[in-house]
Amino acid sequence: MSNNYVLEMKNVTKRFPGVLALDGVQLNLRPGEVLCLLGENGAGKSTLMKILAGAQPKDEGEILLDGVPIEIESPHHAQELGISMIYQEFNLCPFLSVAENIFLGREPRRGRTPFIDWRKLYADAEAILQRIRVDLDVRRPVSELSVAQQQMVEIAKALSFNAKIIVMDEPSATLTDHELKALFELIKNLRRQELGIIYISHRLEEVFEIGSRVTVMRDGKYIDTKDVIDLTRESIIQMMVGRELKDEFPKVTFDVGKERLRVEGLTRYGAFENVSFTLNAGEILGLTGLVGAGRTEVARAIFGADVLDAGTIYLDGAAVAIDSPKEAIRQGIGLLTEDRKLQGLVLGMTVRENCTMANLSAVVRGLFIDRGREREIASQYVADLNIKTPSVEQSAQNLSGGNQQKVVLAKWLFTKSRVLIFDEPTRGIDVGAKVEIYKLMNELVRQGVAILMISSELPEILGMCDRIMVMHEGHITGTVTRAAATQEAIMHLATGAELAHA
Amino acid sequence: MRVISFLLLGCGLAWGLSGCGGSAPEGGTPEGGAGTKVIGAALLTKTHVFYQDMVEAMKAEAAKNNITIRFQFAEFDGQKQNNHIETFIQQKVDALIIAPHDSGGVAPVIAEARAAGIPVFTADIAATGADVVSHIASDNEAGGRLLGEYLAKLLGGKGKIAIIDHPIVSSVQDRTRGFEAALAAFPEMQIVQRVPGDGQLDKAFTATQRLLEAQKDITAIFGINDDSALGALAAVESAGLSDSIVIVGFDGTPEARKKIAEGSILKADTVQFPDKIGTATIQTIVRYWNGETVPPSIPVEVAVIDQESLKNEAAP
Amino acid sequence: MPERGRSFAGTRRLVLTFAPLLSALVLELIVFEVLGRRQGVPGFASVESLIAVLNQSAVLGIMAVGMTFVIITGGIDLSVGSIVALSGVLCAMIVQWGGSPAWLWLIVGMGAALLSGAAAGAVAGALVTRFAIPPFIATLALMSSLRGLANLITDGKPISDLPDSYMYLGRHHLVPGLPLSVLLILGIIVAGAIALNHTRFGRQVLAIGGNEEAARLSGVPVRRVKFFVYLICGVLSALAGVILSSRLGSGSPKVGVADELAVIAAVVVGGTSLSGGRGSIGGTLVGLLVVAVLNSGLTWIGVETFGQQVVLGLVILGAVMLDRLKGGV
Repeated sequence: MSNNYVLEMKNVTKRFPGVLALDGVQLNLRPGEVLCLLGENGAGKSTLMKILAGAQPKDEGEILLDGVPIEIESPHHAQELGISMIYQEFNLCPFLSVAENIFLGREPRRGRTPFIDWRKLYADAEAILQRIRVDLDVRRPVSELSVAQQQMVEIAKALSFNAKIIVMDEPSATLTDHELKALFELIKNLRRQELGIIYISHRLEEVFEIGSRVTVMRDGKYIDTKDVIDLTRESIIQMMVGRELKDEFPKVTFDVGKERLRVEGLTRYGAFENVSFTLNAGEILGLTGLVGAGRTEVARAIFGADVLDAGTIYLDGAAVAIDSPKEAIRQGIGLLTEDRKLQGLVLGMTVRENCTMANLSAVVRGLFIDRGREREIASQYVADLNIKTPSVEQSAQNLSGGNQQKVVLAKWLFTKSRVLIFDEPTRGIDVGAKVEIYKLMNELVRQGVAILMISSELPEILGMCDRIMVMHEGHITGTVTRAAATQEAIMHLATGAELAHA
Repeated sequence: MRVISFLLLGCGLAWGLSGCGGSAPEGGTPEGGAGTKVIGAALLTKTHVFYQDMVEAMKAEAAKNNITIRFQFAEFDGQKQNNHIETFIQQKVDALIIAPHDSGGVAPVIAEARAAGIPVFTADIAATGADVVSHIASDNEAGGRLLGEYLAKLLGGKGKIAIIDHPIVSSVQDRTRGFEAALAAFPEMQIVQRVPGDGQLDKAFTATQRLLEAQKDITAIFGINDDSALGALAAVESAGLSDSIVIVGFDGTPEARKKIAEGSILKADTVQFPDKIGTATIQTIVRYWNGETVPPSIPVEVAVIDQESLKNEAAP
Repeated sequence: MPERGRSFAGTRRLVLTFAPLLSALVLELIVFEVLGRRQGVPGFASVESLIAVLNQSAVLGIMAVGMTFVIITGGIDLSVGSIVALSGVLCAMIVQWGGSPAWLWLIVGMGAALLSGAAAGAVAGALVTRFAIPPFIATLALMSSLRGLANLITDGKPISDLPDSYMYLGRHHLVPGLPLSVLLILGIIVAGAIALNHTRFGRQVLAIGGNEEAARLSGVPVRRVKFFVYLICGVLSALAGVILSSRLGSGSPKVGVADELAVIAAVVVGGTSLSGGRGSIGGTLVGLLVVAVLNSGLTWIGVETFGQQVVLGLVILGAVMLDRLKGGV
């Protein structure tokens, strides 16, 4: 490993009206390394990367590429310089083929004619995919590919620009474990080819698996850069949060009360079959499994968002017919969906309006909505949940991810639900906010609310749940208690390797 | 900023259009000079040659009499015409000329004009149920009668006839009434079908095509205006029935004249004289202003043309 | 007290939002007054003339209120112009057929017309919510069928020869200079604004447009709300049709052609987003006035229909660019 950097960002400062988004930040990247860029939401990682990608101009500071000072004028210019970004949302045309996407706008032509040289296009695309040892049919339309495969296409596209630096923003968020392994394999390949990789993720375990060095930012400031071997999970968190985080999973155990929700033989063909379980007051029941195991589908069906083919739902011992989310809410069930932007919030509406959306009847007086009362309620939740927003009239889209999730939480708290289903409640949220959400779950359980928590993050499941249910391909393969649960046991059940008979 | 510049562009354009499209400054009339009388003309359309000729004659006659005349064209939209007339009423014009979009649909707004003390004249198309000083139009009934007689002579007093109709308009009703009256004298001449062509070329074309599919033994077609007749002509020719059908039209537009002169199956046309209507309208208004009594209906002469008459016209 | 401060801030925000449009409106009045004076027709920028503009835009305005709701849910209703024609001829036919007493048959005719609008709206709503047909397609089909129906029942001919009382709704002045239809459109706008901003229904409409799935998962009865939105739009269009036919003293199957475009233009100029979720009735009123004053002013200074179309297109473009500018900040 050499000490000459492929990229140096020095003293970069960026101001937005009223905010100092970046305050003299630095970042160095060596060829052939994976630099993990860490920090809580709002720490300034995205702003720094947008400057690197040419999407935003910097106010002060210097950027050196291979030791030469450069000004990055536009995203296009950044690409030409060899800086490529892989965002969470891909920039692919779904109905064009893999090869067409890789060379979009730069298709090889037959001599000077306007016609595309298809043979060369496919050959070039195949050559690039071979370089990263990815096996894909370059003629297939991108819409037929899995998310992981689309990501590979994005990476191949970046390489086609002769990228020297690839920035990956939360690349693992939507991948299954198996796909994640393939991604890591690919990253190792890229390292061997002396590319510099900046890797952004909230999952600290990934840092230890593929990171070379770690750069931490907090509140728009540069904190430190260290080699991964010199770090522990705790020390990274301390750098990110700025204080010692005593307990990542502040689990409190309460006495288990009476049965709240019981489902028997729930079936939705093609998604899950014969799902039965009981959820009691005063407990958190975990539901885990690989992506695609049918966890979210079960939650949606209980909530009336999807139709059930068979099965019965009992609430407090009585069978209920739930045919719509409206009915589920009336019966006292709430669902925090896994994708807060697409399903949880109306982004264009204010914090106030989002807070009361699932329980409007509580703020209606006569024919009209009592806005004063709405404002009081929303302000109360903003204070209780420590939601960082200038006012309850702020539009939800201007909040950071963690605060958006808290607004969704407030919405469900206001319905006074007796059963709450949390689907990936902490995905994409920083460590500090996670702990706040866990504490809130404790408080809810103390009040007698029964919680079903769906999560792919085993540490979270193991840390917070009283019992853990595991699904595999639409079936529940087993349930283990907190005391008996281990990562290995759950992985076994999740891969369907062995049916439970504990 | 872009928005403001767009607005300015729009205003500039409005300025330009009001200079070119608006007719107030034309004809050398001093604008709004004291004592200059103003006529507001709310007409059906500007897209027909007929109306263009009428408008030119009105402008010329108005200029001759030192009158300002302002035009608006509804382009077949009743709501628009209503608004045009209301604007003229607000502007307190000294007389209104209306060519209604729908004979029954202008009565209320004409009543409003009368209440404001503005005399109303209709040109070309009459208004029903309205208090109008005078209606100036071609003698459509006579035109229809002339065509009926011409056709009877041409076909030897027998035949099956279709009308490409547009019965919404009262002048068209007059034409077909005169036509029917002329045929009544010939028991072997039957009107077998009336199809709506909206007075438009493309609609008349498709209407005739459908007609010919259903009734192959038609021997003559009466198009209530030239667009109807020319649409019918195209349809008959494309159906290959040129040997068995003759067509007569109404208006005598240049295209129709050309077809008649060529010796096509479009045999004859009633010609109106839109310029004479325009001139007569302005003259009637001036007479009214001068305190003369004007008759409630002023028919303007029409004539039939055929290949023969066109040849004579060209000869000298 | 804080209540008051907030609502003041709200008012100020409202004024700021509409400031560009309001200044456009004032600019229009000035320009047309100046151009009018040069042609010897002063008086465009006067109260009477503004009332006349409102009167002339009552028909489009009533439709625009319904259309605003539809567009906020992310939908569109192209059938409004055809509903105007159908309801107008229905009302006229029934009044003509019934004879005397005219007032009774007028009520029956209006009732039938409004019912026809409700039925058309219900069909559109059902097509969109139950059969998941995109609103553009569903209402495009209705636009054609309803226009055809209006032509069919009248044989394409206008129904005139109606009693004088038929003209009451469209032409009656409560106080001299203040037409009934102006009061009606103002009332509907106020009611629409209150419904959108202060009722549960309005909140649900906005939520559906902002994020339909999130709204559904929050217990909003999405289908029912959307259905009602089309129903309301249908009824309001029918009311507009009755008023128009009353103004013309005739029920014609040919009226309202391309009205849907004029209405959508007014709504969009007023700042309602075609992608849904964002919009206001107040904006629609201002948008309507900008378009109506423009049309009326161009007529005033003698610009003919074709020229008006060109200018109107430019103004729509300008307004939408303004919208983009706001969205970009």
